[in-house]
Amino acid sequence: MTFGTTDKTISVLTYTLFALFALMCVYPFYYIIINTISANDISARGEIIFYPRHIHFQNYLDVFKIPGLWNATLISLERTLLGTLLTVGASAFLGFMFTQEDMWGRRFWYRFTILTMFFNAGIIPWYLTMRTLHLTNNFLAYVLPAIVAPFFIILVKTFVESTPKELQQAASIDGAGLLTLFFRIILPISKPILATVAIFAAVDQWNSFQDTLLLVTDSKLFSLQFILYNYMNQASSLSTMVNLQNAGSTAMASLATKQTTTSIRMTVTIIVVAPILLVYPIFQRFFVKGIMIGAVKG
Amino acid sequence: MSKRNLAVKRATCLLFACLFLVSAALTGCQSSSPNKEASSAPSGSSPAASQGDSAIDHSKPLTITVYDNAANYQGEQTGWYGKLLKDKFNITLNILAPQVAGDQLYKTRTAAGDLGDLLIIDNSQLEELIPAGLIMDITDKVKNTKYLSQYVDNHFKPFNAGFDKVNPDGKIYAMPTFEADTSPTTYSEDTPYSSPLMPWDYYKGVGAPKLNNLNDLLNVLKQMQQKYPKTPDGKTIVPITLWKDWDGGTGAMENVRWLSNWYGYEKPDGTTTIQLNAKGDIVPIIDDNSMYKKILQFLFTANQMGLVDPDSASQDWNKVAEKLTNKQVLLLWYSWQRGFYNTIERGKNGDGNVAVPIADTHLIQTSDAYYGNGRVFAIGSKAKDPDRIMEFLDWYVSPEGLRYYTNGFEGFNYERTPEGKFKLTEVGQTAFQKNTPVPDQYGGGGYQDGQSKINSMIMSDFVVDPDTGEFYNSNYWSSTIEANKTALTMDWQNTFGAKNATDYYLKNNMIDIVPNINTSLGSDSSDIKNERSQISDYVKNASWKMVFAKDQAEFDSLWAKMKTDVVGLGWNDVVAADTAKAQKIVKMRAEAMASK
Amino acid sequence: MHTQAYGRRRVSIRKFLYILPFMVLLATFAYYPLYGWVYAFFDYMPPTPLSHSPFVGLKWFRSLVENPVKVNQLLQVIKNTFGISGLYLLFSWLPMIFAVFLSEIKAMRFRRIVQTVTTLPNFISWVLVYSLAFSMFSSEGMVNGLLKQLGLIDSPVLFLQNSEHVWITMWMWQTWKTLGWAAILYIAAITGIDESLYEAARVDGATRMQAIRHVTLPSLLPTYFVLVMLQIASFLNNGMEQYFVFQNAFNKDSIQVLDLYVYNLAMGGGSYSVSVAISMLKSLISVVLLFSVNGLSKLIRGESIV
Repeated sequence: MTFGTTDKTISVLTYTLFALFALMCVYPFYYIIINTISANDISARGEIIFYPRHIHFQNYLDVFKIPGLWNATLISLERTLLGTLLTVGASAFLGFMFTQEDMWGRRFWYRFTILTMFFNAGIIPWYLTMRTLHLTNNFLAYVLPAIVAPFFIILVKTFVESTPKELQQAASIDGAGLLTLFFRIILPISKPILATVAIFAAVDQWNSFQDTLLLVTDSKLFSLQFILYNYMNQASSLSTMVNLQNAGSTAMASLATKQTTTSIRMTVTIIVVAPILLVYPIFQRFFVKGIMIGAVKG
Repeated sequence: MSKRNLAVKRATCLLFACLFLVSAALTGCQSSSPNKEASSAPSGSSPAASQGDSAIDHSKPLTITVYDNAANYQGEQTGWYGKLLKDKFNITLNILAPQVAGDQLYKTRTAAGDLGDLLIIDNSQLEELIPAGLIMDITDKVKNTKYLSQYVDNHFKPFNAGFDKVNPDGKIYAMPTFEADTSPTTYSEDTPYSSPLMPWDYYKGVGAPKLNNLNDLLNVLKQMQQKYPKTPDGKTIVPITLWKDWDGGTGAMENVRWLSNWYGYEKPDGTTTIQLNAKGDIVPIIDDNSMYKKILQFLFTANQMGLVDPDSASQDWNKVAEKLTNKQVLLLWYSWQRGFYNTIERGKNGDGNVAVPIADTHLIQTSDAYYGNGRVFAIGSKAKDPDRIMEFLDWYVSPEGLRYYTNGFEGFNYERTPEGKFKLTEVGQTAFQKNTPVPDQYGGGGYQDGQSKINSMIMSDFVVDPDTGEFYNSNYWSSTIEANKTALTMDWQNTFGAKNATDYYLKNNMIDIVPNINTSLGSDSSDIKNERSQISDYVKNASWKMVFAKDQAEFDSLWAKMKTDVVGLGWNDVVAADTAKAQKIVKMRAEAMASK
Repeated sequence: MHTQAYGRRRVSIRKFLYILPFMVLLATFAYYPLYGWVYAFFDYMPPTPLSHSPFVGLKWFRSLVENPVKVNQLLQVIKNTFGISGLYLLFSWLPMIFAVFLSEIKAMRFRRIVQTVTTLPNFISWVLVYSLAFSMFSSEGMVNGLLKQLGLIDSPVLFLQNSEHVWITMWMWQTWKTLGWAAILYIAAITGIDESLYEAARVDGATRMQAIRHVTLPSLLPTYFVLVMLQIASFLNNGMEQYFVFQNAFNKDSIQVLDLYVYNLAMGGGSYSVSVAISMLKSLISVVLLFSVNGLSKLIRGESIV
C-alpha cells in the first residue's frame, strides 16, 4: 500500500490522534499498576498518580495465596482453549454453511440462529434446563452452550460472502466436496475473521464466571475468574452487614478497617488482563498482511 | 496452502506455550503455599466426641452444602477452621453464598426444590420455605442435644411459635442467628449503634462547648471546620460526608435513617415507609412532622452552611472509608466507624473519635439480640445426613465451638491468666487484621483466611463462658478493657462522668432500649414488592435532591412533589403493609417488657 | 430429469443434516427454556411451584403504565434509552474509521502498540472505571486541582454530579472503553481485502484517500451494515453496569436507561414475574426491529441481511 506522499498532513494528524488516544488508554492502566505495587495506605489516600512509591508486591502475593488458585487457573485455561476451539470451529462451519444457497431451509435456519441473540428466557428456566441436562457441576456446562454463537456466525458469513465467488465455484468444478471446499478454501481465506472470532470467544470464556456462580458447587470446577470474583467480594461485604446491627459491632469494626477494596480490585484486574495481553500479539499476526486472492487462485 | 497451515500450527503452538508459561508462573507461587493439603488426608478415624452421643459414625467423609445468606465467600471451607471440622467430625463445609452469586441463587435453587443441607436464611425466606416443604422439622433432634437443648425454651420455641401461620403445631424448624444470652432488655455494647461521634481533640480545640441541640452541633462543626480546614497532610476536612451505595435495602436514605435514631425513631426491619419510636408511634416518613423530614432538613441546613462533603452524592462507601482513615470527617454515627482511625497508640495521645452527646437527643437502641437478628439456621428437608449436621451445630454452640469461632486457639490467640480469665496474646490482638500465619499443626494459612466462612453464629459472643464468667467476645474481657485504657478514654470518662457512652445515655435517661424483636413479619405480595421498590427508588432520589437543594423553597417543593407522587405509586398500600408489620413488633415488645 | 431434481434435493437435505446437530444445540439451550415466558402471566414466587401460583394474565404488562407517575417515569426512561442508543448509532462508524486509519499507518511497531493498547480499557470493569473517574473528577480530584492551580475556578466543579450533557458524557466513556476493541472486527475485515484491488487503484493513480474511499470503505460496508442492524435490534439493551456506577440523584433523570430502570426496580426485591414480563417485551421489540430494518434494507439496498 504505497501511495504518493502528497497527504503528509493527514499522516501527521493520524499519528498524533492515535498517539493521544493510545495515551488515554494506557494511562489508566498504568495508574492501576502503580497503585497495586505502592504501599496500600498511600494508594488509599489517592496519592499515587505518576510513579509508584514504597514498592511492594504483597497484593499479588495475597492473590497467589488464595486456596485453589492453581486448579482454577487450569480450569480456566481448559475452558478457554476447548471453548474457543469449538466456538471458532462451529462458527466457521455454520457461517460457511449459511452461505450455501441450496441448503434446505437455509433462510429459516439462519433466522432461527440469529433470533436467539435477542431472546432471554430468564434465569429460572435456564437453570432448570441445565439441571435436567445434568450440566450442574459439569465441565461441559462451560463449553456446550457457547458452541453455537450467532454473532460470530454472522461475522463469518458476512466475511465469506465478501470473498470472490469464483473461488468456490472453481473448486466445485474441480469436483471438490463440501467439506473439502470448507477445509481447503474457506478456512484459509477466512483466517482474519476467524482470528477475530477466536479473540472474542477466548476473552468471553476467560472472563466468564456467571455460569460458575449458579451451576457449579464443586470447588474442583471453579474457574479463575470465579475465584477472583469471590475474593473481591469478601472485601466488600461490609454494607450487607450493616443492616444486621446486632451482628456484633466489633466484627464490623475489624472488617471495616481491613478492607481496601479498590486495591484488591485493581490487582485482580491486572492478573486477569495480563494473560490476555500475552496472547493477543499472537493473534495480531493474522491481521498484518492482506490476503492475495490472486495468489490463491494461481 | 501448506505454508499457511504451518503458520497456524506455529501460532497455536506459541499460544499453548504462552498459556503454559503463565500457568507455570502461577504454580510456582502456589506451591510454596502450605494450606492446600488441608482436605487431602482422611482423618476421620479419631473424631473427638464433643458429647455423649456415640452412635454417630464418622468414618465416611461428609460434605455439607451450606446455603448461607451471611457468607461472603463461596466454596469449601479451608484453612484452620476447615481442618478443625475435618479432624473432629470428618465433615467439609461447601458454602453457597448469595452475596457472591446473587439473589438468583435463591430463586433458581428453590425453584428446583433443593436449597442445600444446612441453611442460613432470612426469616421471610423461612416463612416461604416451610410450607413449600423445603425445611426439616428438627423438634426432636434439638431436644436430644447437649448444648442446643439448653436454649430451646427461652430462645428457639418462642421464635418458632411466632411463625404461627405456617407452623400451627409449634414445631421447631429453625434456630435464629446471633442470639445473646443476656436478656431481652439489656444492651451490652459500650456505645449505642448510632450516636453522635466526633474527633475529641478537634472538639476540645474549639472549647468543647456543650451541645444542646442540632443547631449547636452545626455551629460546632462550623467552628471546627474553620479552625481545622485541612488535615496535617493537606487533605480537606469534610465535616459531614454521606454516601449513596448503601441506600439499597433501606428504601430511603440510609444516612438519614440512622440519624433519626438519635431522636428516638427507628426503621423496623422489613419496612421502608415508616418510622417507629419506643412508645409504639408509627409515623410514615413522608409525614410533615416525621423525624425523617427533620433530619433531611438538618442535612440541608448543614449543606447550606458548607458542612456537607460536595462529593457526597457521587462517592461510594470506599471513598468514605478513606476519608475516615484520614480523619477528614468530623461527624460520625455508627459506633464501629471509630475503628477506622482510633488506635490504642493514638488514644494514648488523646487522639480519636468519641461519643459527644447532644442534650436534646433521646436515642432509640434495640437490645442485645436475645431472640436473634433476622436470620436462622435450618436444615434442608433433603439433607443427606441430618444427624451429623445436628452434631456439628450442637458443638457450634458449645463452649469449645464458641471459643474457636470467636477467638481461635488457646495458646495461640489467647491464654489463661492466673485468675482463670482469658487474655489475648500479642498475636491474638492483631491476628485478624494482620491475617497472621497459623502454625501448621492447626492447618496453616492466614488466621483471617481460615476463619469460619459461615459468618454467622446461633448463639452470639454475648454469651457467658462458663469457665471464665465473661462474654466470649474478647472486647469485653476484663484483661482487654484494662489494656485499652488510654488518655483518651480516661479524659472522656472524667468529662462525662460515665464509664462509657451507653452508660452516660442510660444515667442521663437519654436512651430507650427497646427489646430486640426477631420474628416472622410475613412476606410481601408481588404487588407490594413492586410498589415498594418503585417508591423506594423515588424516595431515595428525592431525599438526596432535598439535602442538596439550592434553597428552602426548592427543598419544600421537592418534598411536596414527593408527597403527591408516591401516592400515585401505591404509597398507601405499602404503608398499610408496613404498619401491620410495625404493629406486630410493638405488640411483641410490650410482651417482652411485661415478661421482664 | 427426475433424478436430477432428486439429486439436488438430496444435496440440499444433506447440507442441512450437516448443521442439524448445531440446531439441536440451539433448540436445547436457547429455545427450550423459553417456556419460562409463561411465568410472565402468573404471580410466580419461588419456592411456590407454578401450579400453585395465581394466573394474572397481562397484569404485569399493564402495571408498567397503570398510573400517570409511572407513565412519566417510563417516558423519561425511554427518552434516555433513545437518546443514548441514538448517539451510539450516530457514531457507529467510529470503529470502522479507527481501523481504516490504523491500517494506513506504516510504522509497524507503532501500529501494533496502538492496536494492543487501545483494547486495554475494554478489560477494566465499570466499577473500577468509576473509581478512576472519581479520583480524576471529584472535588478533590486531579482535574479540579489543575483548574484551581491555573486560576480558572475558585470552587470545585462537580463533574460527576452534572445533570447536563449526561448522554454525551456516557457516550464518551463508552467509546473510550470499547473503541479499540470494536475496531478489531474491521481490522480483520481490512486484512481480508484482496490486495490486487489496491494494485489496480495504484495503477490508476489513486491517492491514499481515494484508495480508502473506493477500495477500503466499500469492502467494509457489508460488515458495517450487519453490525448496525444488530445494534438497532438491540436498541433497548444498553446494559446497566455503566449507568449504575455513574448514577446519582442529580443525573438520574437523564442517565436512567431501560435496563437500569428495571434493575433499580428489582433491587428493592421486585417480583420475578415482572422481570420476565419486561424481558419478554424487550425480546419481542428486538425481533420486530430486526425484521423492520431487514425489510428496509431490502427496499433500499435490494438485499436483505438476515
